[in-house]
Amino acid sequence: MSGDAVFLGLAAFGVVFLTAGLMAGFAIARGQKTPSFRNISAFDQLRRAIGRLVEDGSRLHVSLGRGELVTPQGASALAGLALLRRLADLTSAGDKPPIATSGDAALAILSQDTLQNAAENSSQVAFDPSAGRLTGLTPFSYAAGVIPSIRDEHVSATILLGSFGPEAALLTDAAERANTFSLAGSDNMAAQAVIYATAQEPLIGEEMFAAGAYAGSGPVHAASLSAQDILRWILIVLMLGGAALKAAGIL
Amino acid sequence: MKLRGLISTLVAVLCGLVVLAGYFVELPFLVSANQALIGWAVILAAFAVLLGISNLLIVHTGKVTRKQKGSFYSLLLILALLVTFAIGLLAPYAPQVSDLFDFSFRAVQLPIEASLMALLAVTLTVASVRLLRRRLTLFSVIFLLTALLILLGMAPLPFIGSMPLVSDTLRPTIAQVLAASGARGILIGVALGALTTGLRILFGTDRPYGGK
Amino acid sequence: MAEVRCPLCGRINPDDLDYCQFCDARLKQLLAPSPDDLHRIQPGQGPIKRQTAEFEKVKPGGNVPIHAGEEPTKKDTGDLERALPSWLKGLRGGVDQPAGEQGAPSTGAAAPAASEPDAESLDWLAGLESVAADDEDPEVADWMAGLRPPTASAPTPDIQSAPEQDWLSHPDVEEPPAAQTEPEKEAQTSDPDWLERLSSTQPSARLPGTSPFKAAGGQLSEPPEETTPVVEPVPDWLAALKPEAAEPAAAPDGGGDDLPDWLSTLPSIPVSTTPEEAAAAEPDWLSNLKGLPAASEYAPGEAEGLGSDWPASTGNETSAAASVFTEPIPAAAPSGEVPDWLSKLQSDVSEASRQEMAPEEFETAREPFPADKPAEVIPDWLSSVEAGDASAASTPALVLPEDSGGSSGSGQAAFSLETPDWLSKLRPEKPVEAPSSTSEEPQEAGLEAADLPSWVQAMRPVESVIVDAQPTSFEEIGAAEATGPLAGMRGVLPASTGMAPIRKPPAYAIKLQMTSNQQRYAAQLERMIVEEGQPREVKPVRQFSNQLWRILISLILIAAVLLPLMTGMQLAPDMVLYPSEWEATSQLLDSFRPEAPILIVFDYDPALSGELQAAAAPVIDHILYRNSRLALLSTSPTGPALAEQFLVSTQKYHLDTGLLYTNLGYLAGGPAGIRLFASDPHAAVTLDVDGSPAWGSAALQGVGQLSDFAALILLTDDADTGRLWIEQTRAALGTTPLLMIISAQAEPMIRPYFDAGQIQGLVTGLAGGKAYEQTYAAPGLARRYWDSFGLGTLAALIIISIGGAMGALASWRARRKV
Repeated sequence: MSGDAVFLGLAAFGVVFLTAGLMAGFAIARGQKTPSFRNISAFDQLRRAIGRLVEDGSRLHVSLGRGELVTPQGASALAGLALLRRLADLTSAGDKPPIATSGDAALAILSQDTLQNAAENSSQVAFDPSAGRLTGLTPFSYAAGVIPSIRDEHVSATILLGSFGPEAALLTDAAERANTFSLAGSDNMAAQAVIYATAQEPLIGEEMFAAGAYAGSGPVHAASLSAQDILRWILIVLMLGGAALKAAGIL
Repeated sequence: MKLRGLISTLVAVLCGLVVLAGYFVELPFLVSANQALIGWAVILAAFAVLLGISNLLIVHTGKVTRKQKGSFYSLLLILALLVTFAIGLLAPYAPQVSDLFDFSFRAVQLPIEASLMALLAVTLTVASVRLLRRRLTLFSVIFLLTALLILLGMAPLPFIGSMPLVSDTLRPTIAQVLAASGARGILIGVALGALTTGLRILFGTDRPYGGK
Repeated sequence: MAEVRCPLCGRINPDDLDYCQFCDARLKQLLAPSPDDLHRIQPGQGPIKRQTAEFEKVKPGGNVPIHAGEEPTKKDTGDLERALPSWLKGLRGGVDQPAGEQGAPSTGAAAPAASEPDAESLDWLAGLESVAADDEDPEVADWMAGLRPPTASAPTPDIQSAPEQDWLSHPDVEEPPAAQTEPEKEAQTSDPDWLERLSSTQPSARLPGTSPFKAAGGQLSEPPEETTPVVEPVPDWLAALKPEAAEPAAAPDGGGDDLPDWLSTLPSIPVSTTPEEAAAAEPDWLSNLKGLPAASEYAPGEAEGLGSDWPASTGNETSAAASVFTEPIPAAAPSGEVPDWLSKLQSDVSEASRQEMAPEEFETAREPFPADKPAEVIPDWLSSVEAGDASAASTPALVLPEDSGGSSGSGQAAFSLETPDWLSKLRPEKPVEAPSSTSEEPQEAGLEAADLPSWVQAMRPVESVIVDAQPTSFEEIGAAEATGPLAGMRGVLPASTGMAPIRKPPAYAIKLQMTSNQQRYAAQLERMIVEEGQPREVKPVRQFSNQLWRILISLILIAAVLLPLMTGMQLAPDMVLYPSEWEATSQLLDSFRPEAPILIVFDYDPALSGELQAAAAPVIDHILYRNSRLALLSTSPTGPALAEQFLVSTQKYHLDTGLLYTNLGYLAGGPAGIRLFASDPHAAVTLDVDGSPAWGSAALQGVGQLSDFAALILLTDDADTGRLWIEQTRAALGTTPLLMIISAQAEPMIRPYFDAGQIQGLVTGLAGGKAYEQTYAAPGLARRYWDSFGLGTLAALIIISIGGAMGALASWRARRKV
C-alpha cells in the first residue's frame, strides 16, 4: 500500500470518525429538541400537500429512484426511504395508503418493508403488498412504469427523492399533467438541472438529505444535518487554505 | 424492538463496520471478510432482481384480476415479461432463440427507450419555455440564459458551424469552470449527505429493514 | 337655568322644553312619573348615590317586598345552609356561639340559655332580629337600645331596665357557657381572627352579668378578680372612666382629671337623665351621630383604624350610650355631616367583603383564639374597646349606606350579589311608631307576596334594598315588579305598550362613516366573499393551450431533426474547432500495440445509445484496425445486449473479418462487483453470455488480471458510473490507461478527472465522435447526425428564447396585475 493510499485512507477514516462523533454529540446534547433550520420552501409546501391529501382522501406517491443500495447512489435512496417512512406515518390517517415506486429491485423490497411497518404501527390501514413496487430496471422503463401510477391511482402528491437521471423530467411532467404536487430531489447533476426546470418544488444538492430532519424524522436526522454543516465549513476552510498555499507556492 | 428487528440491525451494523474497516485497514482477515461480504452482496443484489421482477408480476397481475384502469397494458406487460424471460433462459442453448432475444431488444426496448429520450427533449424544451412563466426569479433567468449559451456554443449552426467566441471560449468556460465548480460543490454536499445517511444506517437509527 | 337630560339621546335640554331639541323625544311624560319610575336605573348606569338622609325619610310601603332595614321573613333555611358563604357562617357562629369558640365545655345550666335562639329558628338572623327588635329583650345591651331611633313608644327606662347594668360595670359576672351545635362549630372554625375577637365579647353583650373571661378556656372556676388583667392594660384614665360609665350616678366625678375635657364631661351625664336633658348636654356631633348607624356596629378591625383614643372612648361611650343617645334623632339628619371615620367604616366593610372573597386566607390565618389570654393578644387600647364591642358583635359590620363614606367603590362592594342578610339592616333605624316587638307582624304580611327565603331576598339588587329612596334623577326609568320572584327589581321586564312614552322614532344617520381606504377594503372583501361562493371554473382552454403548445413544439423539433436525415442535405460545415482533449486521446489510441486485449465496458442506457454509439463508433473502429481483441462487459442489465447491438450496427466490417471478442455479460453488484472484478476478474466473471468459459476464449488469452488489458474503455452516460470505475479500478489498473467515451451531459463531472490525469483519454458526445470520425474514419453516424443535431438544437434554442421571453412577460404582467 502506497503512502498516498495510507494517507487517504487515514484521512477518510478521520472524516468518518469526525462525522460520527459530531452526529452523536449533537444527538445527545440536543435530546429531543429540534434546532431551527433555514427555511426551505419545498418542505413547507410538502407539509401543506400532505395535509391536503389526508383531508381529501387522495394518495401520496413516493418514488425512490433507481439507486442501487450497494452503490453511492444508495445513500439518496436511503434518504428517500427515511422520508417515505415518515410520510407513511403522517398519512396513515388518510383514506388511501401511500405507494412507493422504485427502479431497483432491492429498493423495492425495502420500500415494501417500510410501508408494511408503517401500516402495522398505524393499525388504521391494512398493508397492501402492491404499494411498494418495482416499475422498471432501466431509467426510462422505470419512468414509463411510474407514470401510470401518478395518473391512475388518485395521487395528489408526488415525491421524487432518490437517485434519478434526466428521466425525472418525465415524472415531474406527468405529475404536473395530473395536477398533483411534485417535489423532486436527486443526487444526479443532470437530474437536478431538469428537476429545477420541471418540478414544482425542486431540491438542489444536499437538500434532499435534509428531508428527514425537516420532516421531523427524529433527533438523529437533525444532528446529522448539523454535522453536515460543520463538515461543510471545515471543507471550505481547507479548500481556501489549500488554494492559498498553492498560490503561494508552498504546496 | 422485535427480535427480528434486533437481529437484522445487528447484522447490518456488523457487516457495515467490517466493510468500512476493510477500506481503511488492510488486515488479512478484514480483507477476506470484506471480499466475502461483498460477494454475498452481489449475489443478494442479483437475487433481488428476481424478487423485483416477481413483485412487478404480482402488481400487474393484480391489476388485471381487479380489472383496474390500464389492465390491458398490464396484461401486455405480463405476456412480454414471460416471453422474454423464457427466451433469455433458452438463449444459451439455442442460437435461434438467442437471435430472437437480440431482435426483441433491438426492435422493442431500444427504440422505446430512445423515443422516451426524444420525448424528454420535447419535455425539457416545453419546461424551459414555461420556466419563467411559472417561476420568474433571478436564478431562473440565469438558469435559462446559461442553457441557451451552452446550446448555442455546442450546436453546429447551419452554414456557420461553430459560433465564434461562444463555442471556443464562452461555452467551455461555462461548462468546464462555472458549471463544473458548481457541480463539484454540490457533489461535496451530496457526499456529506450520503456520509451521514450511511452513518445513520450504521448506527442503526435508520432501519429500512426489519421494522422499527 | 334648569336642565333636563333627554331620556333617549342623553343630551341636555332646557327644562322648559317638552321635546328634545336634538331627537324630538318627549322630555316630559304625559303621565306624571311615579316615584318608582323615577328610581329606575338605566342599563349601563352606575349606582345612584343617595344621601343617607333619604333613608330616614322613607316609610316602608306595605307591598314592597323588602326594604332596607326590614327584617327578613323567618324561614327555615336549614337546607340552604350549605349555600351560605363561609364568612356568613362564621359570622353567625361568632354571634351565636361565643362560648363555644372559647372552647368552654357546656354546662348544664348554661346550655339551654345559649341554645335558646337556635331552638327558635335556624336562621341566625332570626336571633339577631329578636335582639334588634325586641326592646324588652334582656339580652339587648342598654347602649344598643340607646342607639335605636328614638321612638315615642320606646321609653328610656325600658332600655335601661333589667340588665340595665352595663357589663362593663360588672366584669365579674360569669356568662353561662353556650352549648354549640356541630354546624355552628364548623362555621366557627372558619372565622377570621377579628371575628373571633369580636365574638369573644359577644356573650357579655347578650348576657349581661356573664364574664367572657370566665367562660374562656375552662376558667369558670377562677375568681372574678382574675379578670383584672383585661383591665390592667387600660390606661388609667380609661380605667377611671369605666366605672363612671357603668355607674354614672355613683361616681359622677371620678377620673375627670385624666380625661380630655370633652370626655370628662361624659361621666357627668347621668344615666337616668331624660332625653331632653341629655340632648341638651351632648355636643352637636353626638347628636348627629344618632342619625347614623350605631357606633356599636363597628367591627373590631375597623376600630383599629380609627386611632388609638377614638375607639377607646367609643367603647366607653357605648356603655354610657343608653343615657347619652336617648334623644330622638331628627329624621332629616343631614347626611353631609357624616364624619370621616364613618366613611372609613364603609371602606372597612368593603375590606371585610373582600376578605370573604378569599376565604382561604382566613383559613390559613385562622387560629383558635386563646380565650384565656385575651389581654395578651389584644392591644391595650383595644382591650377596653373589646367590652364595648360586645354589642357590635351582635350586629356585624357594614351599616353605612352606600354614599356615607363617599367611597363608591367600597359601597359597591358592599352591594355585591352576596349581600348578606344583615344588609337588610342597612336602612337606618326607621321611626318606629309601634313597639318594636310588634314590628315583625306587618313585615311578614308584606312578604307573603314574594315567597322567598330571607337570604334570597337579601341578595336582590340594591334597587330592591333602597327602593324607597327618593329619586335623584330623571334618568331612572323603569317599572318595579311588585309581585313574583322579580319583585323589587326594576327594568327587568319591558314596560307595557301603554306605559311607554310616545315619541317619534329618532332619525339616525344610516350612512356609515368610512374612509376611502375602508370602502376599498370592504369592496375587496365583499368581492372575495362572493368569489368564494361561486364555483370555480375549470379552465380547459388553458390545458388545451398547454397541450397545443406541447404538440407544436414537438412538431417543430421533429421536423428540424428529420429534415437533414430525410433529405441528406448538409447544412453545417465540418468541425473546425477540435475538442481540447482530442490530441491526448489520439496519442493514446495510437499507442496501443496490435492485437492487444482491450476491455470495453458498456455502461449506458439504451435511451442514450444513439449519442454513445455515434461517439464511440469511430474510436472503436480505429482500435479494431489494429486487430485488437475485445472483452465486453457491463454493469447494466441491458449492457450485454447493447454491446452486441453496437458491434452489429457499427462494426459490421470487423465482425465479418474475424473480430475476436468475448462478451462477459452483466457484472452485478455495482461498485462491489467492479471492485471484485478489479481485484480478481476470473472470480468475478466465469462464463460469457453464451455460457462458455470466459477466460478460455481466444480473445482473452493471457489475461489474468485487470492490468493485463492494454486499455480500459468505458462508455457511459452517467458521471457517477464513470467516477465509480475510476475509484474502484485505479489501484488494479496500474499503468493500463483508462479512456472514457461519455455523453455530453456527463462532461462537466468527468472532465476534471481527465484534467487531473486520472483518466488518460476522453471523447465527449457527438462532437467528440465527429472529431475522431473526421480524423480516423470514413463519414458515419456522427456525420449523419451532425446536421440533425445542429438544426434540432437551433430550433430548440429559438423556441426556448421566444417562449421564455413570452413567459417572462406574462409572468411580469400577472405580477403587476396582482
